[in-house]
Amino acid sequence: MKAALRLWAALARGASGAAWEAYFAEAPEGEALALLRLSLGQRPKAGGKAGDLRAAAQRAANLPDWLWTEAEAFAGSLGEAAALCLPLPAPEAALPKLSALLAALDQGVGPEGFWPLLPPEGRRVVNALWLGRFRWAPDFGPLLAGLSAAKACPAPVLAARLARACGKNAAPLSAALWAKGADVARPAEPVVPAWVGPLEALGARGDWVVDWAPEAPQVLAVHPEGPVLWGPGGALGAPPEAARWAAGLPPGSVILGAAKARGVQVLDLRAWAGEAWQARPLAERRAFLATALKPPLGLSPGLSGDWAALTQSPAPFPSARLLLRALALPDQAWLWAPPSLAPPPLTALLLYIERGASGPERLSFGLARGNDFAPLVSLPAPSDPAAKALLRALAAEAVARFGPVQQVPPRLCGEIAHEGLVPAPRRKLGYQLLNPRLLRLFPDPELSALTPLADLVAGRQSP
Amino acid sequence: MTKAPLLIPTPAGIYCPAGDFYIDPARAVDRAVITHAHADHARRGMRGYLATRGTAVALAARLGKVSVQVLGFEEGLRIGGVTLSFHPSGHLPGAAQVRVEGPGGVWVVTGDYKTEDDGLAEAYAPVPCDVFLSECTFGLPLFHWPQAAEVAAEMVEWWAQSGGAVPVLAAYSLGKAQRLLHMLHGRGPGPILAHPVIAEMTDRLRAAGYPLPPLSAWPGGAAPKGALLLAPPGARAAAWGESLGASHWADASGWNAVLRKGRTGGFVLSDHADWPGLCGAVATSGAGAVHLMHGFTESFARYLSETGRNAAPWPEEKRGGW
Repeated sequence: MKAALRLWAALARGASGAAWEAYFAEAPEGEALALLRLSLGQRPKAGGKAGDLRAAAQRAANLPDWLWTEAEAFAGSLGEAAALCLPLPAPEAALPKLSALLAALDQGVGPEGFWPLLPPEGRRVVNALWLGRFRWAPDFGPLLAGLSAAKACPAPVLAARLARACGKNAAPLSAALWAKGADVARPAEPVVPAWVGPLEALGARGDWVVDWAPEAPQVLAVHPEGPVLWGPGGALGAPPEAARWAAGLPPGSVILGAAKARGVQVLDLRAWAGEAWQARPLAERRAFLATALKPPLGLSPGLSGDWAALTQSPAPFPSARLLLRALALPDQAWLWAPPSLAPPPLTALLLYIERGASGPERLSFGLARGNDFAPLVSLPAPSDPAAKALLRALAAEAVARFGPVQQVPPRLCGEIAHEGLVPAPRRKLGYQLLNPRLLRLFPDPELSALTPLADLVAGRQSP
Repeated sequence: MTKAPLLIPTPAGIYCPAGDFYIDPARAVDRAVITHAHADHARRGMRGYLATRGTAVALAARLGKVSVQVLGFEEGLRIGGVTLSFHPSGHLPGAAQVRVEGPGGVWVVTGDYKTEDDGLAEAYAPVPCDVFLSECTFGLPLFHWPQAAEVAAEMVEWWAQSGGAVPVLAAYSLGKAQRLLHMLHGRGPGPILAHPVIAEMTDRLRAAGYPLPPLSAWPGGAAPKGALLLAPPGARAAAWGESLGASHWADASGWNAVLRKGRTGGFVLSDHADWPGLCGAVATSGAGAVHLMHGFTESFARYLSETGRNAAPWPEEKRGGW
């Protein structure tokens, strides 16, 4: 379990692929599989009552009731207090295996037996698992990259096999996950898309295709192991319909597409039957797809007209949520629609600053609603020195504090670009911006400068 | 007849009427006995300071030209009707407990202390006494420090895996920074460099005889590949921190032991005593009465009282005692 604890600590300190690779290179097979099981959300069934855990921990720590209560209040949770209040394990104590710990919890064995062997970091895990409060959802991109590098197995193959281990009828994890074999074709590896923007230079129109369904699953890879879908940020899955979609694709193919109700609208081709296509021109890739695809796969509509015409007339685009994908760019990044195709930026008032270790981390902006302001959006604080200086001054005169979140006087406005507005009943304002980003901060305390909510809503409703 | 207490709480701090001096006074007084040179214990404006050699070096760096009388560890000094001596507290180089002996018995003021020997600061020495004035910054049973060697290994791993971003350890310029330097020197993939304030303080302590390796000041800008930077916490948001470019910051503090209170990714390393350390220090003092300062005074006093000690919080101005 030592390697797992080191990995968790490294991830908490911002490590990613290298830490995963180091873990998978070091951890024994059973331990790595146990950790992967946790990473897929397959936790032991929560077994214990909080009261029982507290009683056991209090006994083990030999603390009076009132002192335990004070410690728990300071620690913030029972699991944390039970992790910290016990004496540290003796130096000669051998750490238990993660796999053994999970197996014991599976059988309903309580965590007390593990406490004397575990440091606080390990006790945190076992307590949270026992109480059903274990939350860990690692980013699959770095995990797969690390596992792939450590086991010399292609990431898409691993992804496909891991996808089979998800869900109710999942096959149990085994070392076959990273086994190499002649049956495994190695397709071009799909790049997990990352969001960037706003877009400053569009480049040649031929470098672009339109993604008409930006919120659908985005990548379809087909392997001998079965189809797998990748989404933005590395989300992974294998829905039942994926098999139907993939039926017309040869093994070792990777297409980029948007899953829709009746099939997949294919945007681009990364690999076909194990052969990499991504170095070929976009036009050639799409021409091949036009002949090779069979229903329910279909080629997405192309982008007609030139940029000037497109930006002058948004008629071809169904909504402001349109995304464009720069398939010919080397990093294969996704890019937002140019500002001219998006709704005009809005002006909102800075209401709260959330402080981090190094200063302002997030800014909350709001719009007027009645005689008050309601928060609309929270955005990362800008990092340029001038903005930081302004924010430092504002933070110093905060009018109210809620932990790290500080309410500030209404003296700064933010110009916020976005891709549209959707209803969000649980938000105070009733709406949520799509893909918001802060363009600039400027001092303007005039209420008239703020975008009226009514205008925003009206803009949303206009065609 | 009840003996008059040797030390009493006053608005200016801990006062010794028989010797007419204050210990770590909060206000300007004529004679200030300083346990260590951190800003919450050593302040400007005293007519005269009494401190150990290591603390005097740090006082000169922090306060400039002040009148400091140096007293070695274990040396007795007669002041009025009492005898005063310094004993190592282990908190940082030069940090001392103050032992006061007089008609009212033997009193010990710990200042800040840690019972673990870090190999740099003079190691904590238990001092038998009648009355023990102890700090209890971490006076809850949540706090159990891991072995410093384990923490050092974690730091080296973090340093080695930092990739393209320069790793920066945030640490107080006096004490924690030198401890980290002492722990990590020669163990990572590159040199250790420091913010100029830390480098200057380190130079002064090395010149005073503490076993510290040479430490180059880093003026700012992109650091050499593989280097680890030590910087005061405030440097992160300052121009120096912003000039570094891509950087990974982590701090080393006892508060990092508690997930909710610590900073994400911070290391658990404290220069204060943890719960077992505090309980052990109280026990080894043999004191018949214990007063608690700084931190969880009420809780720790109640715990000690319920386990057979005569313990109470020491009135402190900032806590509303005055």
